Amino acid sequence: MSAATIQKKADVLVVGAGIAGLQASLDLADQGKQILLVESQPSIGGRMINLSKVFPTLDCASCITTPRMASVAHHPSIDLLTYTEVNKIERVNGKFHARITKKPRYLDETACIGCKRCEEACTTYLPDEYDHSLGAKKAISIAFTNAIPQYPVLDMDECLLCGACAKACPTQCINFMQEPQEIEAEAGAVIMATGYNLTEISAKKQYGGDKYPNVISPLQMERLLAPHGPYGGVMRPSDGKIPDSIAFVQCAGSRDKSLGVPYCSRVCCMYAIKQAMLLSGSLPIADITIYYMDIRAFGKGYEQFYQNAKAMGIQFVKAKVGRISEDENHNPILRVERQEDCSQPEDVTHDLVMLSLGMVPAWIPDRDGIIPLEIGEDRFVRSVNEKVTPSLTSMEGVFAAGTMTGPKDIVDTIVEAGAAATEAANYLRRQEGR
Amino acid sequence: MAITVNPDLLKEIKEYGAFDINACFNCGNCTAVCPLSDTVGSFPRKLIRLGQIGDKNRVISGPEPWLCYYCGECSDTCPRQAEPGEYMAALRRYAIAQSEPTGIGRLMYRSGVFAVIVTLLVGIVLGAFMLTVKVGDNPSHWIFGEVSYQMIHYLGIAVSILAVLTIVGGIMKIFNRLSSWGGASKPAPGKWVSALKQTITEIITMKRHREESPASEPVVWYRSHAWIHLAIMYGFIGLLVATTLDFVFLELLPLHLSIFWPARIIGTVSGLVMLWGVSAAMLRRFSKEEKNAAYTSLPDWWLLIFLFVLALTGYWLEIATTFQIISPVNDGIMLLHAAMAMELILLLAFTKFAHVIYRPIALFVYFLNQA
Repeated sequence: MSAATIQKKADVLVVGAGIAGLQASLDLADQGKQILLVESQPSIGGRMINLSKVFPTLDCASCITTPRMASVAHHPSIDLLTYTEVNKIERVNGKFHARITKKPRYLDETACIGCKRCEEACTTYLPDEYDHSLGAKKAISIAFTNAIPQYPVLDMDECLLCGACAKACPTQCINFMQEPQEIEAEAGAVIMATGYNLTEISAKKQYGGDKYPNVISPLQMERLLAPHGPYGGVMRPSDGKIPDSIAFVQCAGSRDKSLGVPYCSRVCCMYAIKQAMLLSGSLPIADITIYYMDIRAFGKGYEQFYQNAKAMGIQFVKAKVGRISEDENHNPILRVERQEDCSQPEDVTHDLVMLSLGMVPAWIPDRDGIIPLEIGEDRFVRSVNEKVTPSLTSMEGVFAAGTMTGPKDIVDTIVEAGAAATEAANYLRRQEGR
Repeated sequence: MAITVNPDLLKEIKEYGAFDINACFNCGNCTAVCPLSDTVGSFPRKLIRLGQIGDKNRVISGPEPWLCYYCGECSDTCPRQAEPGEYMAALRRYAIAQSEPTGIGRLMYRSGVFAVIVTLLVGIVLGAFMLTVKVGDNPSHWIFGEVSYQMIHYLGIAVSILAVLTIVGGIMKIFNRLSSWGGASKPAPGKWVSALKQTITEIITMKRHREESPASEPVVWYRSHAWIHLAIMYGFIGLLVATTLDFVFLELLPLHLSIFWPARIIGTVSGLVMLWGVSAAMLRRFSKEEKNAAYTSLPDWWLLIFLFVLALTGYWLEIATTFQIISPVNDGIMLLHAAMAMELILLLAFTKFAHVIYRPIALFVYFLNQA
């Protein structure tokens, strides 16, 4: 029997607790607004908490994100719902009504103390999505070390129901019979901050991203570089070899009409350069090559960052990679056309290859429902007044922040989250004045 | 030598194919993805760049367009959908049009209406010419009563000589151009022999052609681009051999040859092989499923239609002669068959058919410059 539907009320409903959702929530909550923040993942922090360091300052991503995560979790005006899906948002008489489902973690959150005894006791190993399948996790586990909240999730599809976790739990909080909890919420305004997904690594079949073990995605590379990464250092997935020669393939998911992503994802040049720099720090004698069509270092300090990378000895080769194959030792072979001084196709063998995948919207209204916002040709949510008030969507009272309206970097995302918070506050004030 | 940028060249070439090279930002994907590009024949980006700056000399002086078999991989993966494969095809049409002195080819490629008019006109003139000679009473001199066998025989020879003259002109022109390609160093004499050997091997086996497109979904071999082409080519060569044998032994043999006469057997089998190849090719172009058939234009259809009609009418005539069916319909078909066969040869240098001359020459020059 499922529990009765819970009713909630807030000034602003924020969907998505990545860096944009966190920032917007904090900005509004600090003004005294009541916030209901809903996150579909077990932990808040979004994509950013997954990164190693950020460009162009090379600040540690966790060091910037975790204070915000903690502030949100402890803020008296923020009601945080994690591992929770929004099903529907409707606008009735100027108010927003949301139907929300809290997915079962199969434990009593009020009793759990985050001690990880259950995780230690569990005998089932699964690919760890936080490490993008480079590492393993248990069937009952806390998402990652600095996850907030520190509650585990039990994967019921993979669980053997052996009961080891329930026996190990000091507070007897494991509940294998837990049901989803329905929630109805009312809010005066909505901020959508649903973020992005990377383009599929298998999208370009000439690259064999899904076939070759040593052709990895940018987020996998982030995990290899992260201090608390799966291998505790940079090793390649196929055999654990420390790579001597690493290649970055730019525009592997963007600026390609044949993939249906004709736009530039803006951040790939910079994250590739950043990763190359970090690599040359951790593997000082490795050869690092970036194959690019052209480098788009657009932001403040970005060009200097690019020039620094060149000065550090990172090779920049102007060539679009046409095809990737591999030899018997799983060394990826890139086929490129050398363009400087000549015009010659060439096969180059590397130990490890990262495909610079592009950004696509994680949530698309006409595909995923929830709320009927207009989208642009690129399938990102359309901002109706892009130049002057970029956070305005096609629906009154619904504001957008971060990469859901288009590819952008962390700096722009945080700025836009602040803008969305201000727009939402202004909107609420106008509504009260009516 | 200074090069003046000439943006009009692309406009000119564009009349020969549906590509969008202006969209290209020179990323080099096409050359890298091409299964046939190597250090000597580095294409297609180089040709795209030359086209963009309008260096006509170098655009038409390389063998590269002829090294391409249009597998469509570059067009499929082009980030800008500039259709580099179609550009290569357009360059081949452009090269054919540029290699004949009359300008008829140029007009035929650029205007479908003109191509149809020329085709009809030449056909009618040839047909009418064959009807000018009265057949007389000697049954060994006519087929079915109206068309003189001798007339077809001698007109055929005349047409062949005319065709050879235009072709020789074209060969000289294209060879002159191609000889300036490649390195400055003169290849060693031994190189000529090995290049010739490689060229002949390639023509016979079409190995490079079959190597194209490893990443695309594999098609059943008999439906692949290369095998269809091999069927058409061997079918055509077989028919050519059969016809030549007929011509050579005409005086020695009775007119109504049995279908079991060796030359006839070669003709019958080759005709079937070609008919199958042509039908498969037409089906490919009709369905437009593969990238390289997506922009099929009249010049592509022209050759296929000719070969198809020739094969069909050929079989009709074989049946009619074997069973001695004398009818005015058969006369008409005989006339059509003979006129179209001669036209095919006569217009060789002006149509897609010209590739049988240009591709081997380009391959030879390419092998000559290969390390």
